Amino acid sequence: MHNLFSEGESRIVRPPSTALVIFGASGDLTHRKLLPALYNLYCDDYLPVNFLIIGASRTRLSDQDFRDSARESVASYSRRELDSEKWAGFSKNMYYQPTDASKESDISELGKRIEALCQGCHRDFNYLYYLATAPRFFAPISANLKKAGLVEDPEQGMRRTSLIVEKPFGHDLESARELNAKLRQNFAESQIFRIDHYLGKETVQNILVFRFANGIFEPLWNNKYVDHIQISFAESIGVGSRASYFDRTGILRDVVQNHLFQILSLLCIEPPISLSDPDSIRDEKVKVLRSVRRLNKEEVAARVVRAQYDKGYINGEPVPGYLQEDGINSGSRAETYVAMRIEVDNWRWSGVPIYIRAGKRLPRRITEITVFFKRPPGMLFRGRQVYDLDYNVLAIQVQPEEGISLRISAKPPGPRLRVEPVIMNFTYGSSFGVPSPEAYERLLLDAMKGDATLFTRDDEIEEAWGILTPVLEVWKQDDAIPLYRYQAGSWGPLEADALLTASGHAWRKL
Amino acid sequence: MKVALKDIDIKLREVIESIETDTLYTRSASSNFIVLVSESSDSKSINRLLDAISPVHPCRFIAIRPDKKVSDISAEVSASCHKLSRNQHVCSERIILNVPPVGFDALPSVVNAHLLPGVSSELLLFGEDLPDQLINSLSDIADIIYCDSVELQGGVRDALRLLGKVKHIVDLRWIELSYWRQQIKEIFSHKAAASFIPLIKAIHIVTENREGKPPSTPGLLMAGWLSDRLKMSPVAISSSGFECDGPTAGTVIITFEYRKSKFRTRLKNLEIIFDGGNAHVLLERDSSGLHSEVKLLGNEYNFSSPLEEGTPLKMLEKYFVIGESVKNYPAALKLACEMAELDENYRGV
Ligand SMILES: NC(=O)c1ccc[n+]([C@@H]2O[C@H](COP(=O)([O-])OP(=O)(O)OC[C@H]3O[C@@H](n4cnc5c(N)ncnc54)[C@H](OP(=O)(O)O)[C@@H]3O)[C@@H](O)[C@H]2O)c1
Repeated sequence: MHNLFSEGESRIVRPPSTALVIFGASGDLTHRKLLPALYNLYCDDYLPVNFLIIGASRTRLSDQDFRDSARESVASYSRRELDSEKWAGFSKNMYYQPTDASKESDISELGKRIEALCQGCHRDFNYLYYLATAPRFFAPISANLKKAGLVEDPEQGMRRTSLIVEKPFGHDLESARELNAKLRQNFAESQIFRIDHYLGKETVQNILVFRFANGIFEPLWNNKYVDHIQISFAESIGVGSRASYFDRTGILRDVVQNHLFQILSLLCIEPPISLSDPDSIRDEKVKVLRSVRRLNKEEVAARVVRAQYDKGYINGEPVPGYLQEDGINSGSRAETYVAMRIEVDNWRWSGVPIYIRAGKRLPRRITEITVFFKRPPGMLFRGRQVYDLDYNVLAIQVQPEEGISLRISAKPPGPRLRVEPVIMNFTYGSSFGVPSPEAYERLLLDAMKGDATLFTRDDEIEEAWGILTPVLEVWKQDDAIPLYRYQAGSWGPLEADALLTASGHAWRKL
Repeated sequence: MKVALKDIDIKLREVIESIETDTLYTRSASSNFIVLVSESSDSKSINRLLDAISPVHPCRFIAIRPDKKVSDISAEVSASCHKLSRNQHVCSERIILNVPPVGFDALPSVVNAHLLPGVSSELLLFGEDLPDQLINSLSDIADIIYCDSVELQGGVRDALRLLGKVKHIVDLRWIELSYWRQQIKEIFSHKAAASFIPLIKAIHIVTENREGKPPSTPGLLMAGWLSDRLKMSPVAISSSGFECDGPTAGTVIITFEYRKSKFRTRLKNLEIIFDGGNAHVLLERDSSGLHSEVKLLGNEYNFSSPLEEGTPLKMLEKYFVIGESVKNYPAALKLACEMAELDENYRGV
């Protein structure tokens, strides 16, 4: 039955007592993102009053070793400086249990340790398992947890046990379905939290507030007024330590299937029935993904451009070409850049081109969502000015700075009638005066509360892969589809520009 | 403040944040303004240039100075604010990059990494002897180029080449010629004068420069504009001038005269000669301005307008403050190039 006591109540800020078990506790993600996020949550008084962090990986470490290495990472990566007093309060709740997660016996030892630690606190704890290991361990860990009796049936009992799964979630539709099926043998869908850290970003969440809390935008949010949409994801870095993973994956799988399609679904979503029930939003998001028109073979060739970078410069520094990077197979065909034109074929968006581009070794790091509104008829101003009437552009910057800007046309002061674009800007830092939390902070907090709104549901994952299936298949089968080249430090291959010029559009300069 | 390339953003933010906050300071984000200056300029003169532009066109400025004496690209950042009203200031950020020839290849990546996103990028080519490689790579980044076609090595033809790369070129010589174009437009806005347009037989353009020799960029631009307005194009050249054909006035001869003077290059007179001897138009500059003398059916009319001396910076300020249409520039430039080519072939250059 529906919880009658929740109605009209504000949602809890501090989650109930939680034991967070991190598999892959000696790894990069744990040290760069998870531990700093947890420390910041602690400093902001968002962590449960009773919490335990239990690190688990194969490396033999003592509790103290784990705390020491965590301290170093927090000092380097936390958004706020490390405060010794706070650190002492935080780190006394951290423990480490050497665990080979592929071994049943190790997991059952881990289980005993967790139970002992919880009992020591004389409280009932929810268990939250974070899988920060390579994806091949996701299914075995979930099975071993189940076998060790560490997963409660959500329909029974009072303890919540949940599983956070990192990306990548599969490498195509089939493998994603298989992984979903395997996880669901041990956990119910409501217990599985698939993380896409883009959903933890303030600006991405703000898409919904922006659309549905303002009277002026929603009426324009459709094919009558929107000319086209661009979603751009640019990184200036190359592949770094992820070379071998990236080389097998390519950028389409690495960021488009997850982050950019999540952004797309929020941007194009219909008003959900409620914002407080995780499934109403996710139901609507999945409808958007389902409405994306699947490309046929000819369309893949015409509407998707892939490319790989050659040597060049990034902010003055020479950088090698992709094939010269350490850990990359000579002759690799992995795409480091992709641009595509898609359409959400539903009542609201039919006919509005949506251009998506993602690339490595582009001039700067920036992720931006841009909505171009249709231009007014220009006859009143013809011959009057230097510039053509510009689009009104609403730009939502997701990183590096989070903010929203609106480009409008205005008359510069003076006796002549001229029209020039001006920008109205809103940045989080200067508008609210508080820094945005890191995405992982929000997501860890939500998972502890059991709120799955900002996590990806099984059907969303599968629909997102479904959109890319034709592209991946055509690329695999047809070597004649070119892998274009671009210079590191440029904005991608010319062929990606041609994708837009055919419809009289151009990529926004970033 | 001198900074490492990787710290440019951080230091710029610090500079802006360090500005006092008792009044309202707005960071300008209207566009990116890249300025390529010649090697002979120094930080002081660059800052003077930017000081002149920023009040009329606040932007993020990135000034680039070729420098054979340094070994790596080096950067300086600063901000300059000007008062808008009693308690409101607008601040422009400045990045000055000194670039040795070995850094030319890497330079666009530094510029690209520091442009404000989502706004247009403008490029000002300021001064003589700017390295071709930088002109080319920076114009690939820009949407609009401001330049003085007189200072481009290949004159109007370089301007045409650059025009192929960007949305607009604002040629400061074109802005300077606006007084002349304006006066011609005024004269023929009178019906009586307009009825003589089909009778134009010849146009004589007198230019001045230091050598008293061709070519004259302002002369060519003016001839290009007149040809375009009269829908003509040059078809031949002979000792009597350019032969231009078109549907409006049939064949019109355009002739140039080059006088030696202390001025680098400028237009001196422009004469329009009509068939039948019932009309005559002469525009002439002197130290007090631009004057025209119009004879129509036995009557004589005189007009005058001030004529600002055209330093590139003055023209640029005029452009930002008043604005000026560059709509007819591409067509005029194209015709100017055709004439330049005919002329060179004729003179055997
Ligand atoms: N790093 C990021 O920024 C990032 C971002 C997004 C998603 N991810 C995802 O997060 C996951 C982890 O990435 P990462 O970069 O942190 O990788 P990583 O640095 O290689 O860490 C892998 C972790 O797994 C542990 N591990 C390996 N085999 C194990 C086993 N049999 N039992 C228990 N632990 C085992 C390793 O520790 P031992 O060797 O001590 O066992 C290590 O702690 C991956 O799925 C990745 O795709 C990472």
